[in-house]
Amino acid sequence: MFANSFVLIVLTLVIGLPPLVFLFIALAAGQLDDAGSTAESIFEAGELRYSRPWETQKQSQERVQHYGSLVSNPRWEWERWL
Amino acid sequence: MSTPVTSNPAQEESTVDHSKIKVSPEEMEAYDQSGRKPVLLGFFIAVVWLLIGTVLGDLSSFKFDRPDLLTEQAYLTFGRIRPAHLNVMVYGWASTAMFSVSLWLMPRLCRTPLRWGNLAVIGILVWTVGLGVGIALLLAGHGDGLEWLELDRQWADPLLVIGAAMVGASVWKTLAARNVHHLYVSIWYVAASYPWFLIIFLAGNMPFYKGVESAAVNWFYAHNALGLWLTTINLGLIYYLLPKIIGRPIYSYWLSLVGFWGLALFYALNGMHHLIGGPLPSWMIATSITASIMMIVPVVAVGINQHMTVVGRFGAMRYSPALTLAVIAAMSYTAVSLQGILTALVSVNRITHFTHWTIAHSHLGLYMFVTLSLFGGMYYILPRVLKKEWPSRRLVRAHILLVGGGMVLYIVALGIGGVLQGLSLLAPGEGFEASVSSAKPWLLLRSVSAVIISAGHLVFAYHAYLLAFTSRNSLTRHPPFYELKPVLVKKRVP
Repeated sequence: MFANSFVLIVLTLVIGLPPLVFLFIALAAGQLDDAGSTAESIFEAGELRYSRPWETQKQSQERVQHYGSLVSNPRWEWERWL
Repeated sequence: MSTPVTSNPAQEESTVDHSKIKVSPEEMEAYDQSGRKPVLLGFFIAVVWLLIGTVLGDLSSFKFDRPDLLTEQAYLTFGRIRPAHLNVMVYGWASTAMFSVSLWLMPRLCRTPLRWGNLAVIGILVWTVGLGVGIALLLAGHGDGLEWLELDRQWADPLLVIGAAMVGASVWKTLAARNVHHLYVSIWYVAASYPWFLIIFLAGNMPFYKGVESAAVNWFYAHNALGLWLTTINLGLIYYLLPKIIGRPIYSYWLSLVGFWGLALFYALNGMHHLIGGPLPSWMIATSITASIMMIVPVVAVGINQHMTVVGRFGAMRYSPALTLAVIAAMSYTAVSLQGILTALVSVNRITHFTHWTIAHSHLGLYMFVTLSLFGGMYYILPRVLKKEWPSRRLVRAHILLVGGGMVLYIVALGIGGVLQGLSLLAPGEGFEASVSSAKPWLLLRSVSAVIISAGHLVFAYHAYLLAFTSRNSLTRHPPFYELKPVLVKKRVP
């Protein structure tokens, strides 16, 4: 039974085991620490302070609370975030 | 497989502050321009393949309605046109566009210019030549005869491997030169995809498998090509686009990591559920079904995360075609994954196996998820690389409505037709002809939807041409999509 499936077992291990190893390495290196700031790392300076036309007043207020007062978009909309 | 962790002191130092010290828009623009050549080349070639694949797909579909259509030449017969369509769409359109997406994303996320960009250009060209040779040989009757692996293993596959390795080298070199320590989840997805693809593609094309083992390795490859190549880069793209366009971080960064590592650890064994009922060891099928069911963890994690990121802000879809397509693609990913888990159950598989349901399922994944995600990516990336806006809001709307509406019709029609076909095949009193008759009207509907989708592709290609090669409306100041009536959210009170 296992003889018939030997190739597949090897292939699955080749694909499946390295992620496990890399997961431990990532944990040891602190890659999974500080999730909050990593999530925000994709944004440019001031990007989260731009007013968004689709947001409700409540959502705009939340943005102000989290990221500071809103600023007007310095460039055309499509260039910034569309 | 994943990215290496550096112990470079400079990067360790930057760990502390990188997410607090924001990158400037000018810096981001410089990263975009560093990969301009390979990114534009990849997208251009991808659109050409998209149009070729569309013609091949349409012909394949029409042949179900008119079996005598174009049968005088061997290269136009269904047995050659259909695999050519699949390979052109997977390796020509999707993979080449994914090269561009990777080469655009990595510099932004790693905060460094693209490295080895010229190597990536050569890689994309080598890949394209390999695919061209493979498709020509396939139409001439020389193929490997394994689904998703039809391209000739002597003349085409080595070029594909070399091409993907070159693009992957550029991606990994950029990763190695990164100026950040913490890796955003999109980096994990994109960087891991390249070694995964090379391993499974090489393994799948080895010439020494026989009989049942060959079928098992075939589906090992085909399913992993979907899950560890097509899915991963597009999830990486969606995880970037959703928060960027909406302007808020991903709902739960932890859930995004659960999604990635769940996929990385559990996905490899999924493929064997395609062989339920086949002469394989029962433990192998059982293991595959179990692995498929375990996929519910990363799928639900990704689904919840993406939904919660967008919820309350669906109105943004009126402004951004990229967001509209990314949201539909994200929803389709959840839908196709749950559908796949369901299909892996023996009781469901007994009805759907060997029917058109499978084609509907694969198009939900490869089109509604992968292709729409790539269209969304192109709507976002091309204006930034070309520094021009898409010229026409009408063409954007027409494209999205045609491809979205057409594909919904496609999936519903073939899904229903497939189930009816499967039930008919299982009915002991009915002949095989009854199963064919039950599917026929749904196949006609599929052909209608194929024409609608093709029109959408022509609109998109024409619009991309206007954007890239003319200056028409290139600097018009208007938010795309604004005219579309808000249907998902209340109008904002000023």
